[in-house]
Amino acid sequence: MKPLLTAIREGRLYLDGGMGSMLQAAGLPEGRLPDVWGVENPQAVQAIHRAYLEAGCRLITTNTFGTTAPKVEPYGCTVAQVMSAAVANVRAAMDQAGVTDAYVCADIGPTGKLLRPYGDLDFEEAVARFAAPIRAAEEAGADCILIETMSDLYEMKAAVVAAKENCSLPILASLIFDGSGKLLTGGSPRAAVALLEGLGVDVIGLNCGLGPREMAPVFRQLWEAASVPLLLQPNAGLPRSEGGKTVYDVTPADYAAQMAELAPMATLLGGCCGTTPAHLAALIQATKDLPLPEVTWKDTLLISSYCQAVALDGHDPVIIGERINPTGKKKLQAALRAGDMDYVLNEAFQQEEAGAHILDVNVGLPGLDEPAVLTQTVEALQAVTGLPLQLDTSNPEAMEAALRRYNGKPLINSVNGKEESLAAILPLVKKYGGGLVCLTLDDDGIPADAEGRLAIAEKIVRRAEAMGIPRRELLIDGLTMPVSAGGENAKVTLETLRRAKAELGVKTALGVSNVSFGLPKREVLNQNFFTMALQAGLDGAIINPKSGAMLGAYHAYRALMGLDEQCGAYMAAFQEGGPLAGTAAPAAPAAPAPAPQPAAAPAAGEEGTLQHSVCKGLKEAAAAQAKALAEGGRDILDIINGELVPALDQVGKGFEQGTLFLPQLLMSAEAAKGAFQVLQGYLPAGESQGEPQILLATVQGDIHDIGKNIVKVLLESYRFRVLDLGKDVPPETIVATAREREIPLVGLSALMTTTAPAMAETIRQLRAAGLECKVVVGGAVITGDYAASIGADRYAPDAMATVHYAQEVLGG
Amino acid sequence: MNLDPREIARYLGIRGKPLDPQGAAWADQCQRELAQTVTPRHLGRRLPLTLFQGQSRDLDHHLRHCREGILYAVTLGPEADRLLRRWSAQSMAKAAVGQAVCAAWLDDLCAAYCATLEQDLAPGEYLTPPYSPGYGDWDLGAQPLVLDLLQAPKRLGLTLTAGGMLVPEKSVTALVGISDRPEEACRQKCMRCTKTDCPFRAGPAEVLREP
Repeated sequence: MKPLLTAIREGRLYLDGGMGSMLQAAGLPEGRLPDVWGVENPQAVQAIHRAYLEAGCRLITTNTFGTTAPKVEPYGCTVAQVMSAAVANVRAAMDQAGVTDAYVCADIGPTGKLLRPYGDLDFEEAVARFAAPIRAAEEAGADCILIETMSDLYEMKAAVVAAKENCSLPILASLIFDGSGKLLTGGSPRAAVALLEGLGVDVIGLNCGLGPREMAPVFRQLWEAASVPLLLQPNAGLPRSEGGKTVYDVTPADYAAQMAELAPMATLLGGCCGTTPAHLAALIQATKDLPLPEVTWKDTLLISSYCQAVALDGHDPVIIGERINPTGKKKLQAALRAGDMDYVLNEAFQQEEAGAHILDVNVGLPGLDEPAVLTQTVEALQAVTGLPLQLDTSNPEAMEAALRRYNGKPLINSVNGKEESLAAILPLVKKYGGGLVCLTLDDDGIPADAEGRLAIAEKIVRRAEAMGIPRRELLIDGLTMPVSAGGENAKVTLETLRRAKAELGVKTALGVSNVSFGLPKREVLNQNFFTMALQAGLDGAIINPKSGAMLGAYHAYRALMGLDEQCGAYMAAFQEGGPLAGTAAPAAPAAPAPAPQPAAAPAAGEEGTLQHSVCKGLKEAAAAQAKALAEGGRDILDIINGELVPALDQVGKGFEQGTLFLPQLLMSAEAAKGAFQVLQGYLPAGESQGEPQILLATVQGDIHDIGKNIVKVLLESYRFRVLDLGKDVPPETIVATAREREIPLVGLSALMTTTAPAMAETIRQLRAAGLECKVVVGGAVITGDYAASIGADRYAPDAMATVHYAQEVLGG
Repeated sequence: MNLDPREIARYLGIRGKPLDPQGAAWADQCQRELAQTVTPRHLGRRLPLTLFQGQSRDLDHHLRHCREGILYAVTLGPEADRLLRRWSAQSMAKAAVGQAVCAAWLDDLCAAYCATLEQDLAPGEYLTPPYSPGYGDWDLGAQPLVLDLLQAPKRLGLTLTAGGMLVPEKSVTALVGISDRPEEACRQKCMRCTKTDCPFRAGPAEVLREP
């Protein structure tokens, strides 16, 4: 028999239709896992397979939609048992029907769990759950893996990675969209294509959720973006409830007619919920003589986040924000060393607001565990931004760790012409997918001329293609060298760009600002070089999007080159609320904010004082006033005790008396915290730092952390040093950390009755370990009585109560 | 969306007073950001109440005049959780307001959904107020069955953690009984709850307001 991937290119083959609905019709009780019927009642399952075979279907899906260990084990079955019985049932049905030319598709459905950080299923645990049925499928003799009904691209990635690591079968990957045109987790069709083609799946498709008619718009988007064959398995219309049962209204004839309209785009056709052998027979009758779709190769490089794709089409350049890179940035260095992700995230938000399309992420610092920190940073960023990321590291181990966990298809920065680099990076690109920035240097260094750099570029292209990485995925970086070091430097870089694009048919990338190194008024050189590079064909511009000069040059280029329809983006950038609003000319530097210098010093607590700003929650003003006071020579501890503490006390009292409320309390706390951070810089090193005093955690199983985060901000505003272990924290981790760091006070939060026992267990383990720490607890379901019953030292009904207890225990 | 600012205030523990100007500005901004990125989703299913009988005395009492009910779920989806995380990184004060906005929105969506259910009732059928796992003595352990009956993971992306929590976080599941006699109105959501010291309990003024 022909290999499946050959067969589907030679003639139209059909997948089967609904299984669950057919099994229910055959008597499967509600609530029972259909998969185990393959073991318990194989005849019923075989009869359905046979009916589809007799209707003409030749890709028969195993009845294993829910076959993962947590779902089948309660029925006393193993994954391998269920999968091998399921494959055997398809083979048996083929024998019964006298069909020899059908393929067995091992069906892999979603776990039914949401992945971290918004759910509690770890990515690696998801990979492991999918790995078991996939291994069993290949052992049982399945012909391909059909991963279907996935509504989360991250979970889809876990399944595809599991398939690539555990079998050598073709991979068909199918998603469920609803009427919104997006995945339930927010992904667009193009983001799906980017991810799945990057991972190298053989067929991409849609199933379930909608009928053929409703599915058409999303399917068309897949067709426009994809370079691989597509599959299509809609429901027989939208589900409707009738007499307590779910019913579908599209008849076989209508189904066939609606599908015939989409057949010119779909290499594989089939059905999902509500479709029957009659639907499939009608479908086959209506479409079997239609020509197969001609799948065209798309030259656009798509990279993606969990939700959206960014296209590098070779014409319209994109901005890659360069700010998350600790080189020369003291605050970011300190934040990375301290694990202060909020600082990094805010750096991302600012670049996003300025108009970056992609964010470069580099965390390379001496002494930092780069694989761990890069992964942690990538996970934190992808939890809050829809911008795709560019993973930037020279450490292959860090690259793989971050690539694996990345929710989408990133840019990979970078590979170069050195054998060592090619050997380490290309296999990662092949496995996980990614647009690859290729530096034109090798063991002999950076060639002085464009000729030499192009030769390296060509070598990288050749090697990538030999591994099956298409050249559309490559961005050649011509390497920006300072013009202060050589008058030809900029010209060589631009020449490399131009020729790489023209001669190699690749995309290009460039870190722009290095050109001005060592010279005054760098922004002037950067801006002009940037425009020249864009003119030379720069696709991915690695720049600081917060620079008005650079952003202005970008928008001007697009407007001048006819890339900005009716100059809409250009105008929007300069409009009120736009990133360039208020900049008279693009090159004008932003005016520095006037430092608050009141003519006569106001009395304590009056408007214009630090105390007043903290009371009113004015974050920027408080930071500026703290700086002014410190610069003015006032004793730092005096500022803290004379301004910050009275302000916090005043606000805290107001909160407790019910005259002001949580948002105001938090605004004041954040203003105080910001001021304190400024003041810290003026304290001798020893006085500003120290071991953490309070450990905070949301207990195991509980993923609601907003209450704990509120408590954290308040404690920090009172200058307590807080170690935040996050949410869903196992008791063992809390005990081990409390012991290692000699924590005097542990704060635990739980929001649900189901997770309160984990709080009890954590306290039990803390006590059993003989630690002398005090424990304060809080959370929506916790009461004073409950807190006492589980051995907590204090119940805190609100955030201020925790502050008071901390003062009691720790002083201050 | 256009949420009642008093409801947002209530979820911030502020009763009978308006939000301060900064809080109100954040509430507006959070609503705008939610409207831009979040697609709320819901689904419901009419089914016989025998599926839930005997699980909870309170529930059985609540549904004593009903033979069938409508089980439903409403979720703001993972994009709302993302926004909350984003706000938390920007400012916890904004996040606290955003959290209250999400809660108020979810209430509105549930109320709007219940209103659509009324239209589909046969003559002589009336709805009870919604009742959720975790109310009274109806154990949260009912959630797996609820999600399974609704096929919620597949159709809404609504799932449970190992600890029994709904994720995405901003989600509600509930059961509305179809009664043979008029029942209390749907929006008197707090008055039946036995947790009288709840800081978020709606006072009489809120209960009586027209939506």
